[in-house]
Amino acid sequence: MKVVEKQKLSFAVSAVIIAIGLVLMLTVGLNLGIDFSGGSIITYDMGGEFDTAKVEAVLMENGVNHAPVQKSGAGAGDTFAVVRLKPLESEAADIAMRETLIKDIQAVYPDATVETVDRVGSEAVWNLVKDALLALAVAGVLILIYISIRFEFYSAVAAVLCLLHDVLIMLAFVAITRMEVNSTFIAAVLTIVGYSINNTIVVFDRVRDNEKSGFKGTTAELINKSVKETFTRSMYTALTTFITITLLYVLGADAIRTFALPIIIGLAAGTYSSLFIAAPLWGLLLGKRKSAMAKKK
Amino acid sequence: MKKQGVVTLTVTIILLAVVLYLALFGVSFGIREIRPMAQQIKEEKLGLDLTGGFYAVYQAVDPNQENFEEKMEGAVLVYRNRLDAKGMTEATVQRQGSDKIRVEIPSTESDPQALSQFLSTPAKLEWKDNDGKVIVEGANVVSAKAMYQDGQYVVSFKLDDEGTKDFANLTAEYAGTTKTITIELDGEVISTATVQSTIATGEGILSGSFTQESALTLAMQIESGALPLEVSESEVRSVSATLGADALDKGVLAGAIGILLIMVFMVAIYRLPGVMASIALVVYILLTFFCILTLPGVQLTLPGVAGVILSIGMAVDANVIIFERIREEMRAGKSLKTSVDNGFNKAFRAILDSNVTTLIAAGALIIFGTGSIKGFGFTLAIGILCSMVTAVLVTRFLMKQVVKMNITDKRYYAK
Repeated sequence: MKVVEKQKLSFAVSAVIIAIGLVLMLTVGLNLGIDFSGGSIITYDMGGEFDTAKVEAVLMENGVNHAPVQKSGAGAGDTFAVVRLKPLESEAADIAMRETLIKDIQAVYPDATVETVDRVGSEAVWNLVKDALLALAVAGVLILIYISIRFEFYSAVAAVLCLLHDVLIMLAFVAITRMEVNSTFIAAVLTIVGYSINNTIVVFDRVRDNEKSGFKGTTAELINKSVKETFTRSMYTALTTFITITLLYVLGADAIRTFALPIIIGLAAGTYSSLFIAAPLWGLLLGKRKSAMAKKK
Repeated sequence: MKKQGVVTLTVTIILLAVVLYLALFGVSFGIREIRPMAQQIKEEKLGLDLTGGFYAVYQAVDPNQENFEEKMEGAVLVYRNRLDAKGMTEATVQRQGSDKIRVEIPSTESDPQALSQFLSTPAKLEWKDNDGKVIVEGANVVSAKAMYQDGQYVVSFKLDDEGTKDFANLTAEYAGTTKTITIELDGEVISTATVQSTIATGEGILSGSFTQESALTLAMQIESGALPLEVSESEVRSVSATLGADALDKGVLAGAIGILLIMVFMVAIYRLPGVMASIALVVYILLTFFCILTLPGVQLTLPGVAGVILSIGMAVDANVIIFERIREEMRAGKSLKTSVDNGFNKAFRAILDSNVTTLIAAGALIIFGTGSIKGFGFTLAIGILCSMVTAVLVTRFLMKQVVKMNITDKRYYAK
């Protein structure tokens, strides 16, 4: 395993993906779902087969533009129409709009009924993000402290940077694919944070082990040896996790799919970063310190 | 030695099979009954997004008013009363943060829109005299009923003693004059009338342009009391029961297939130890669901189900780490017993450190997260703890029996 020799390539691959993601996020922005943007999602049970174009026409008549109607369903056929509305100026206006819409839709499809209504006021939105960011930040600091104690400070920094890497790759993915971002995405990110730190630690544990058993050689050789020795395990674990999450994606309901897909990407990113980024990054940080110490002398 | 290992292993497997059977199907001996765990979780521990239902969050418009805390507590009680009046006794009402109230109603068939309006309307009822002074208010009403009278829907009410007295005094004064009594609901006039004669019974009728539905709703609201403060609907979610059940079924199917595939994988790669890991996986699943069932406040939500299924993939990780170590030891020419012992010892630190860091992340989610994020943190923490316990204790116990059986043929340990 020549992970140290290839580190420029592996860092570059990640950097390019993250950069594209960041540029897209800053220019086009993320496709925020109602958890973040506020607004309403109304699911109508149309009572049978229906034409999304006709429902969209009803929306247009009521001044709702750029609102693609989605088909969804449980069991026999997709008889549910999912409509997304941007938040209007007030709660009362939202309610009035909902009432108008169902009447107009019933004019076309008399059997249509409202199956569910989700409405999130824009004021409620950022609390969730605030909580999640706070949780992530606290988790990051605590993990930093724990790894510093059990390993050493540079391992801790490298591990937390890897976490950041995985989260940024997931963000880049949703930015590039324009996938809708909702609170489930936050849960997905958090899952990956847990998973990926696990992987990184296993690699660092090998480094620690090899160091203790008196490994003679350069840091680069130590890293290559440790990554090689944990490679099989990393692949097997990635595979078993992949099996379950892919099954969830293939068999799961719509709501689970939006959760499973970012996790699949995060798993790939997490496996990649623990193998090709974590240890080389640690070596790099360590090298910087050593050369700084050499200069002082 | 050898015999002892075989016996212990067989007994363990039989015991586990019995527990698994009980968990899935339950058993009953006459009156005593062990209910299937799967059934119990389905009935008691599923979140709203799986059972279907409705939840809404109401935010106080002005959190800086006097006695805010008391008024919020009062509002929680009013919500409770209103939900009970509708027969929704399973509903929960909780404070969320300092200025929000969260209402959850499982598996309701009601129209979510109407339900939210029913909850967020203050329903402040006032009887005002000719000069606009409040004489009697909603709090004085002891009972209210919707009725059909003279071709229209009305709400009849009965006042308490104090209200009855005040109302009698006022009607006595106004009887036969042109002075009017005005009834206002949430600041809007619903009726203005002159008084023909003194009303001493404390009973009366509210008539506006009610429908059967709105008369019923108003009666319930009046009886449950007015909200002590103004709220706005900050979030409303409803999940259809069909969609929820569908999501659960699909998740369970994915989980079952996933478990089988992982078992096949483990046995294919690790042979005999793989079989032990598969047995440990069954223990892990039973343990996880047992924790979800027994720990208070833990609910299985849709991301939670996904989390549990994902954790199955992660749970075998500890076993993979251990078995890889054992293989390394065996390759280095150590005996079976030494290899197994060393494998477990060397793997233990990696397993401990990697799981503790994940546990830290889960802890942060539980403490700082709200709603579904908190729930997810709980399932994650349970998953990690259970997988650590099974990998370190159960797999180790099983592997010790294997060592006792002294099967040394390499073919049983590697492909």
